[in-house]
Amino acid sequence: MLWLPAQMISAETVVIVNPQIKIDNISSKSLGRIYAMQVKHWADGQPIKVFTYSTQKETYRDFVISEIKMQPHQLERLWNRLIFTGTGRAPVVVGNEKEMLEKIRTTPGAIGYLETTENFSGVKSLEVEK
Amino acid sequence: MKTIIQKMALPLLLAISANAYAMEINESVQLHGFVSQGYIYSPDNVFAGDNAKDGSFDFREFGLNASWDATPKLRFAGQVLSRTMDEAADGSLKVDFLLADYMAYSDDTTTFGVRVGRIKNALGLYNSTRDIPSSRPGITVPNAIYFDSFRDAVLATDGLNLYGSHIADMGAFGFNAYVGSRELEGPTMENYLFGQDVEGEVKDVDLKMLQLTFKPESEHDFNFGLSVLQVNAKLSGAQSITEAGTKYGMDLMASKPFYYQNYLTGAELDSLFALVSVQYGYQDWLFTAEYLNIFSEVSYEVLGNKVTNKPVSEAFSLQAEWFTTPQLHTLIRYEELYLVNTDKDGSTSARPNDTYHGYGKGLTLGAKWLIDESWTVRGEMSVNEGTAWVPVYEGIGDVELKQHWNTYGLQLTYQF
Repeated sequence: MLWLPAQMISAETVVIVNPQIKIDNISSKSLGRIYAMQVKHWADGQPIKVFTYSTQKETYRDFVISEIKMQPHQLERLWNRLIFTGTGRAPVVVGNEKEMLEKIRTTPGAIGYLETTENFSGVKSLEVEK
Repeated sequence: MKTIIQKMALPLLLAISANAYAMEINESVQLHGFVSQGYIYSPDNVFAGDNAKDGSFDFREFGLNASWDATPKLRFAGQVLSRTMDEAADGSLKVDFLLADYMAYSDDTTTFGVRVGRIKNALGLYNSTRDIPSSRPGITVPNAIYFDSFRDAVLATDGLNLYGSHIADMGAFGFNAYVGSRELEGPTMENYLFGQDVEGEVKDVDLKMLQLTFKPESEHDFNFGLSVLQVNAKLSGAQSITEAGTKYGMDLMASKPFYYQNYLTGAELDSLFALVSVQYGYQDWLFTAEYLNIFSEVSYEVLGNKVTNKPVSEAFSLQAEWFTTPQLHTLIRYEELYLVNTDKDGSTSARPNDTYHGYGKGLTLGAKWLIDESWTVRGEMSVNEGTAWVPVYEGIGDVELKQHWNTYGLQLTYQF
């Protein structure tokens, strides 16, 4: 059973990582740099695998605005720049929360997010310092 | 062959990408692409050819790329690109970039690596993505900064790119250094230098570039950039002094008017670009300002006599983007370009059919509607004075250009 701070339940969006990741909290800034694909490794040297949803989904928009504190269009422009200049890659897009949970649980170094208050297991939630 | 590829491109793209933003063959390979169809109405001046004077659909783009993570440190990526712009670009497929990327070092604050191959030049905010509809602020990039004459010469480097970034307490620093060359096709550079095609060609361009970026650690969303680029090009295969002298003698006897372009025996261009970029995001607004100087040394050899000019070109662009709703984005931009900054009215840069070639001023209004993840429609209008950034094509030297000209554009884009 995972322990969730009260504020996260009310905020609904929960940042989740593969259980092997050793940190318990992360700043909005760091989260932003990870989702902008600028920071590519965790502090212990493990490569970061970034997962997200379709940019049309509310879950995505809520996450970017409330957790990363960025505007979605800024992030999408950065991703497009990486993809179409060959200098990097965009996050892997998953179809739904079930798929997200599965990917985060089974992929070493994975990070993603859920918009749920329901119980989930096999992944670790991170507290976001805003 | 070309038309077959073009006809097949759209259905092919639609077929392979019906349900996905990116196509993933497996976790280590990603495919992306785009197609755009434009409509340009340019009632006052030619725009990449005659057709746009009555409105034309001869404006298309197509791109397809793949990236492969061979190991966590080694990545390969490549893209083919086709651009159709009436007479200015013929839609032929080109290798836009093709590179191997070795990330030599990366931890949670610092990254350092090297790329080898054909690499897009991160000159200013938009050079590397000027052909990518989703990464441009409007149908075009800011014309005053990214004007057409230098497009081909500075688009990419065949060579080496060192890159790195570091996150410190005061903010995030980044750098890109490039060294290499670029091979040109067509007479764009000849047109820029001489106002017409000439005997011989400007084929190989040497490039050296450094880009520095800084994003301060602050409540305010600022981004700063500085790009310095050195471009060196020579006219090769020019006529000999004897040939030029003979031609001169014959033209003199036939009482033809003297145009130095007809008797060129050599030419060399040395340009240093210095481009400052500032971006500021505030809520639903994104403000962008760029300022460019090009310090050039242009040497001509006419009938063996060397003449050297040292013009300084100057340009700025001010742009506000308002992300009105998640689906609707609007844009306003004002920009100016002076090919010779001591000649702001353009009088000494005037050409026989192109009196106002020396400068450009433009106001652009645009809107973008994001229909869904893949489809986008754009509309845009520009009100321009001066013709410094009218797109160059073979034969533009024969067309009389007007000082005041407007353009109206629509563009539909599909991306996956």
